[in-house]
Amino acid sequence: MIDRAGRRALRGGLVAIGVLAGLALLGPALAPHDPREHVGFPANSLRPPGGDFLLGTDFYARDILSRLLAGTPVSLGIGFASAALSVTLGTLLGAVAGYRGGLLDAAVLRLVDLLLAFPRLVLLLLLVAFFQRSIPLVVLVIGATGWMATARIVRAEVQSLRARPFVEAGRALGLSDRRLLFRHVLPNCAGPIFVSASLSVAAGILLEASLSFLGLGVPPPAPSWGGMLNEGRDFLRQAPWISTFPGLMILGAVAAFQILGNGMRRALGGARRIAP
Amino acid sequence: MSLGRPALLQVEDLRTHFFTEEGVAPAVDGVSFDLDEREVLGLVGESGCGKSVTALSILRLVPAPGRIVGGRVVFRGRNLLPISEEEMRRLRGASIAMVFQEPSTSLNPVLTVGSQVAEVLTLHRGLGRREARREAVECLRRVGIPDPEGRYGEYAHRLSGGTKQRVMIAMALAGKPSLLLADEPTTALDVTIQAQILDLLQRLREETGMAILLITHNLGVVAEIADAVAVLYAGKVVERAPVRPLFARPAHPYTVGLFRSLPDLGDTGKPIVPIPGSVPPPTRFPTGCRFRDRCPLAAEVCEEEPRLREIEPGHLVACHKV
Repeated sequence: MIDRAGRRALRGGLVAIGVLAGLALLGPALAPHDPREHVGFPANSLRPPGGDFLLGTDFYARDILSRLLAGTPVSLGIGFASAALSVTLGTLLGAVAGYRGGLLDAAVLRLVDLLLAFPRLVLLLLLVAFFQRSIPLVVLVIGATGWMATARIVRAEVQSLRARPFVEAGRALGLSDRRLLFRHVLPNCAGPIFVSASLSVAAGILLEASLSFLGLGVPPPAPSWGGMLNEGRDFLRQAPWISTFPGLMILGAVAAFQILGNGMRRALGGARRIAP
Repeated sequence: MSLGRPALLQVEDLRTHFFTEEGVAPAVDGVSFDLDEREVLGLVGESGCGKSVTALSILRLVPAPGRIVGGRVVFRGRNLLPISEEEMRRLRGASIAMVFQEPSTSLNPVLTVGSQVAEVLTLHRGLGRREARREAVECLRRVGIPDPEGRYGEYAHRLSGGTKQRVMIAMALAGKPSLLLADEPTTALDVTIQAQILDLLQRLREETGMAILLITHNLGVVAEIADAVAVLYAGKVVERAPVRPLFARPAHPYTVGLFRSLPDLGDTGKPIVPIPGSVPPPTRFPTGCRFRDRCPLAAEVCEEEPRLREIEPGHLVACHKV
């Protein structure tokens, strides 16, 4: 059963994600300025927080708050889309490997080991280097490098589930392997898959920010938290607010999904270790 | 076992061996029996004597490292062992169904019990979603579940053991099989529930005309509903007979031992005499008669393998000393 800390984590994570989702949906309506507009450049360049600019402006006199709000759906969207991709990929590969066993299982496991041996960011940089920068590319490469943990978890679950009597009973009733795997075994893995998905969203948001910070993620002028962090780098002393606020947004969003994932894991019975 | 008409199921010299690291385990080693339509055959023996493996072999669901290495399983005149896996799959649940010992773990914990019955209906009887749902409720009603509409959406953990076993039976019967393999269907249940489940199987047999291969270690269960009995020991049939002669005149020393170790409900003061020892692990079955280590009648002749022979019409025994 879920303990108090777990329940608190679930609730906290959900509330924070709800707020973020609200910001992402209502962002354009809440933003006081056009996120791309140079509001009275150069007079309003590097304005500190307060007054007309609640969170200040950057060097180009763009409103930080408006840019943060405009970046929210981008960051969350990339986080969700990349997580959907990596969790789907990981679930499919892990499920088939765990159910089939044998050579296929060994091959998937080796591939997982191989990919996990590379630092993920290096792998990402390698992949994005070959292509024109775009949001779909960012989603694709984050998704394609993030399925391994899910695959391992699902494989282990499926492997233990396929030996359960209800699978044997299903087979004795003439259910096909595909039906048994996808309709009977996989729904029993839903818990760990959701945990893995939540942690994958957190990782996706962080990686998108990293890529954008390095100038390889979301192409400008589209606002993204990582990109804003980078833009503030040269003004850290005169105008620390440019980098601080997007940094806090990244921290908050990543923490929200991590905490939700942790809460779900506790709800599933605590001791079960689930890799990030 | 009538003449002239072929039996529904003929198992001939079935051999299923397990190829383990400790050697080959002949878990089923030359088992033969016939089963007619509407007949209930009790397959009796201690744990580890090959009863369940026999049933799984009939469905061709022997788990690795086991393999059927010989014999024939003839169902409605057709040997099932060489047919394709796809054909076999279509037979499972539709012509031959199975009920397992543990109803608690044999149901999927995350699907409603009704949807699991409905799944068999869509699969084997080609019903649409709505029809399948309606029919599934009927199936639940037929196995004596009260308020079947309410139970349809229930998950397994909310049901009692007896109700779960009824659901399993409903699933098994949903495809209208002509043969039901029931592997210790009452063992995991309370005694009062056991009797109810046996009554249910009896009633369903009368209603549907299906044959039942009833696997059990409980001779009381056999006496209740079986027409004939095959006693299995260490992967071989040691005695086979209609139920009355077997209960009146058990011949094989192992069968006699099983009866002796049965507590008497009337409590006539007759002592319970257990059979000494236990079934040896299948990798170390003795040569010759496999019961000779534990047999009170064992003699030199028992080093030779005994064959099944008829001692009265329909009553076969594999023992040199009878």
